[in-house]
Order: sequence, then C-alpha cells, then structure tokens
Amino acid sequence: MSPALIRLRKYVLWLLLAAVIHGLAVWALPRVVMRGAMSRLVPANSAVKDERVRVFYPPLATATARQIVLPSPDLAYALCVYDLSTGPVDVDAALDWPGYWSVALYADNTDNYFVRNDRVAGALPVHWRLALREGAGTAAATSLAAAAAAAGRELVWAPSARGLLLLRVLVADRHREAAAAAQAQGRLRCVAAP
Amino acid sequence: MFLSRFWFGLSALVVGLGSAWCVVRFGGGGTVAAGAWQSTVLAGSTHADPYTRARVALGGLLALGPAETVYYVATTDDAGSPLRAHCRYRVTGPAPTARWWSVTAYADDRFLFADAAHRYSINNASPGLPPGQVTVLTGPIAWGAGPWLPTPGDSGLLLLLRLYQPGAEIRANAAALVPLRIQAAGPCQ
Repeated sequence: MSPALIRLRKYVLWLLLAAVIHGLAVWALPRVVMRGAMSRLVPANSAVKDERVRVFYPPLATATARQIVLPSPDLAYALCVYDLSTGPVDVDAALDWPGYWSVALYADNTDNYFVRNDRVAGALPVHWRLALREGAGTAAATSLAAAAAAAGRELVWAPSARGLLLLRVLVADRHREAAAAAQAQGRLRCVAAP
Repeated sequence: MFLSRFWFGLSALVVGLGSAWCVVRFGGGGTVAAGAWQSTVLAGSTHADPYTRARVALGGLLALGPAETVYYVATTDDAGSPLRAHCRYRVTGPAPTARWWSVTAYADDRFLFADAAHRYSINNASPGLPPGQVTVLTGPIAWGAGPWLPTPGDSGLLLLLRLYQPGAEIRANAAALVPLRIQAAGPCQ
C-alpha cells in the first residue's frame, strides 16, 4: 500500500472515530441528564419509597427551586420515579380539580411517551398498570395484559425500565389555591403492583 | 507509536465531543419562529430527533408534547436586542388561542427571579388584563398601567410563553401563533 493511501485511510478512520463519538455524545446526553434529574427531583425523604417507585410532592415553584430549569410557577407538581425492571407499577390519579391537570409519562431518553389530561380522564380515568414493553403477542405480554384486565386497570407500556411520571395541576391563583392544589397533588398514587 | 495513537484518539474525542456540544448548544434545527419567539417544534415528542432530545434535555427537560402544550421562548425584543433584566419591556398582543396561556420571566440561568410576593408569571386569569389581550410589563421596578413581572438584578432575561391545549392551528404549526410584540420601554435602570 502506498504511503498516500495509508495516510488517506488514517484520515478516514479519524473522521469515522470523531463521528461515532459525536453520535454517542448526542445520544447519551438526554439519558445522562434524565438520570440525574430522576435522582435529584425525588429526594431520599420521598413520601413513598420501595424498590420500584419513589413519590414526591414538591411545593409550588419559587425562585429557590433549583432542581430543574424553567420551573412553571403556575403548576403544582407531583412526581413518581419508577423502575419497572422487577415488575409493573400501579398508578392512580383521581383528581377533583376544576381546571387543567394532566399526568405525563417520560422515558429515560426524555420522550413524553404518554399523557392524559383532565378532559380525557373524565371518560378514561388514570387507573393504570405501567409495565415495561414486551414483544406483541409474547407470553409475557399476554400475561401482563390479563393481570391488568383482572385488576380493572388500563395497561400502559413503557419504552424504558426507568422513567418518570409527572402530575401537573394548573394553579390559576397561587395565593388562594395553594392549599387546594396540595390536596390535589396528594391524589396521585404510585405503588408497586402486586 | 503509542504517542501517535494517543493524539489520534484524543483529537478525535475532542472534535467529536466539541462538535456535538456546538450543534446541541448553538444549532437551531427543529425550531420555528413567531416574531421574537422561538418554539422547538418536537420538544417532548417521541418523534424528536436525537439533537432535539439533547437540546430539550439541556434547556427544557420534561416538556410536554405539542399536542398538549406548545412553548415559545424569547431572548430578544422585536428589534433583535438581547433582553436584559434591568430594562423595561412591554409585551402585548392578542391572547393566543389556547385553553390556558402564561408568560413567565426567567433569569439567564433559566430559574425564576426572586420576588417576595411570588409574582412570577402573568396568565389568562391575572387581574387587569384587557379582554382577549395580553399585556405584560417587565422591569426591576413597577411601572406603567398593566400587570407587572419583576425582573430584579442585571442578568439576561428569558421570557417563556406556555400554551396549554393550544388551538388546532398552533398545534399543527407553531409558527402560526400571532406573535406577542416585545418592545423596549424607556431607559434601563
């Protein structure tokens, strides 16, 4: 092989290596940030804590809220960080709230893969069994679907084992509605499925 | 030989990581504009490309998908000048078509400004708004007639417009928003 060809091959290899590192960095960044957020957002003294789920009911955002950028001051949040690698998690949110509220599910790559708001929840309540996605038609998927149906729950497939659930309750007037919003937050329940 | 391989790997690592950071941090792909407002179209969406996901992770983690909420960010006024906390701005326009809208002011660290009275946002339930209109006044001290958002300090300023359950036209095309005007109003403090 001529020296010029060897040099060219080296440049191509260098470019390929830089491109792979570039792609890996872009792919990994949201996952690293999400992992950090899941650890940071739900503290060790969370309200519910077991091997599959941790739940936290933070106060309304103020200038001292520094866990996550661009916090909404108009929303009361409740968070549930889950890990479905050892089994499903049951989620209930029966809110009697006059304004907007929603329950959103996030995968470990930041995707908001499922959301239900108050208008839809009137007909389809948040009474979910959250399970790690199995191949369609497999024995495991059939068994999970049957167990969810027997429990009277809607089965929601999660694309990643670890993820985060976020309840948002819109608080039009934080001075007058803070106490009511705290009660509404408390209606979110996340527990390991039996 | 070892040194040559070391530099070969290190330079590829620096270029790979550096180019990824530049594209994510400064690239504008996947955004649309409505006046001075920018919206990342696929924020939170399962259809987002890896670059959009990375941008959202850095600048707006846990965003809702566009069917539920559309977000618009402004860091300049209508004249293109960077927003500054110690200056006054008037934000005006027709109320966006949405079930709920709000305008929130953030410092350039992307956190809320300190305010003892918790005046962090103006929304469609705020008192003093003309029917069907948005009026927001920002600045370090109260001024003018209209709802005021305090922006103390000397940092940059970021305005975030949130539209919850926006109208079908905006859901389909975030650029269809009739943009709220952002005008500098008087001298900076």
